[in-house]
Amino acid sequence: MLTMKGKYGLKALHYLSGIPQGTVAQSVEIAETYGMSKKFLDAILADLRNGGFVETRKGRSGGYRLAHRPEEIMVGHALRVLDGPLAPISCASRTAYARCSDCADEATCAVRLSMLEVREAIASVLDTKSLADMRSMVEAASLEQDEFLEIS
Amino acid sequence: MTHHIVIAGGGASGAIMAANLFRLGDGALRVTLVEASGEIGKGLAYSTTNPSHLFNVRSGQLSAFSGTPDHFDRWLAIHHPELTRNGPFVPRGIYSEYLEAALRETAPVGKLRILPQACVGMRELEHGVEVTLADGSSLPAHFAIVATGFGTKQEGEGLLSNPWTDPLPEDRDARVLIIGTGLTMVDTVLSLLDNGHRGRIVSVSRRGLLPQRHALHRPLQLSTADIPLGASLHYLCRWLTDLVRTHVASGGDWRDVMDGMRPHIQTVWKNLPTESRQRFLRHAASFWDVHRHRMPPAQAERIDAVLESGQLEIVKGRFLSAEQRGDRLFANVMRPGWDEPGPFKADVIYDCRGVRRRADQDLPGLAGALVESGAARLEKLGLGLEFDRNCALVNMHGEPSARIFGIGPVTLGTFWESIAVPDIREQARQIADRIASGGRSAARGSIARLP
Repeated sequence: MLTMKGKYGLKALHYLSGIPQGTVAQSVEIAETYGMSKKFLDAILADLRNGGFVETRKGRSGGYRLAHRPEEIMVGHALRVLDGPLAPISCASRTAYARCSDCADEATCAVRLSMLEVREAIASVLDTKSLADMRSMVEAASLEQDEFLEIS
Repeated sequence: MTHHIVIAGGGASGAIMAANLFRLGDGALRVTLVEASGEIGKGLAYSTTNPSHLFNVRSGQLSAFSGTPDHFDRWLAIHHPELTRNGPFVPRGIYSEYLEAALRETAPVGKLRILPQACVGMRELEHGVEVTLADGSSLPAHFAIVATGFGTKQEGEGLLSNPWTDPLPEDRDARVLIIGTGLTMVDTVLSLLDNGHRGRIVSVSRRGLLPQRHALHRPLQLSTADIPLGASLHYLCRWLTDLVRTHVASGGDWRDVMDGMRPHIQTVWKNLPTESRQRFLRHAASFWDVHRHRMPPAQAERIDAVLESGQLEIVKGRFLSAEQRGDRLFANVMRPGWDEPGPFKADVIYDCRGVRRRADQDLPGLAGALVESGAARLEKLGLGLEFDRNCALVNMHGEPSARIFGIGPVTLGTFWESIAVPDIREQARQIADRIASGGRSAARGSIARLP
């Protein structure tokens, strides 16, 4: 499930993938761009740092930057560090498993069996989508929007 | 069209490759196995004849064919029924016999040729591969496959004896030093004991870690969606130890987690950032190895007995060099907390440091020649040659070959988990499929094929 944390984390990574190479961004500018709480964002960035996806530079000119090139960071990989195993429902994961309170037999549960398939599909999409891919999706979408505005 | 395929190396990898080509091909192909010893299936792993040297996996995992997982067990029940009575861990020495049987079963008469020669080079041409041999002759082929194993030197280095090729000490009271504390050390100690050895055996490695033992367990069903791919080694290690802790707390066994990870290790390795791979090799690989590659219970019991009696001692220390004074050997070993190396006196020193290539070793044989000619390059960590995800050899410019492939331990650096039969037969299936379709890579992008 995509939590608020996962959503903000991906937005922060998207922001960092757009800053010039060799520079860093401060969390306050990311937080302002997306209207997030800075405190929450700092906690998210700490997790991403822990997972090895972002690096920090300390001091007055300090801030955050990506630990690898945007082509090398997969959205699904970062999301596992933010939200845990990719799973649309908590009983569909082995490692962050939680049984539904109203469940009689999970082995033959129709919803769970379907969601097990869904999680594989989620992984196959998000594990092949890099931050660079995400950036070009955004660019293509804004180009389309511009064209639409011009026509109308 | 009849394809001619040359396989360099006739150990288990080469033999499994050939058997899969015949089984999965269209029947029109010819295969030449180039193996200097002329013997099939007797590479580093399976040349031993000592019945105490067991497979470190159960017999149910040893079929040469992914599609027929009980192929080995059925052969075993017919040809060696007596071995199945001692549990699922059987002697390794019979594997070459099985592989020969698998080849007889799959290869049509006259289509398999075994060439007792060494392969020294491969050159990709427009419509094929020119394979050169040690005697200066060359073989034309449509496809070639590198199956040369770990590619470490077979001979003992200087004063160090090779546990697989050098004879056991005649003096049963000789003082033996073994460098390494892994499964090769275990096999060497068992050989010494079988030979009636009475003298002391000291085994030294940097961390002094002994392989764990096998036990009955139920592998955890993990999906790639559960595993933190692409994260740093630090994060991955913590995730894994947390998972083991919660699993054990709920009554499970740590082996369930290790074996649940087993099918995903190639994917984890592929997505592990380069600096994390380096850190893994430096700091974690020896811990990983002792949990991943375990001792069969029968071996573990004998090792426990000699550890208890004091005949075998495990010592922590880093081996630096060996020297000879008179007829005695001395090994210089840096022990933890010591300022300078202390000499270890021994009559024989066995080199059991394992099979992975070390950065200071040169790349011998075919692999070295391929790098020199530019047909291949070392992968980033220098563990071996670089291959693409479909086992195609990558040349000095980073381009995958359409005609030269690699299988088994030679692909270790690219896949990490490519040294055990289940992985090797899966590689063989992939390569055989690719060759059967004329060398084109399989369709990409379908959801089923993604990791």
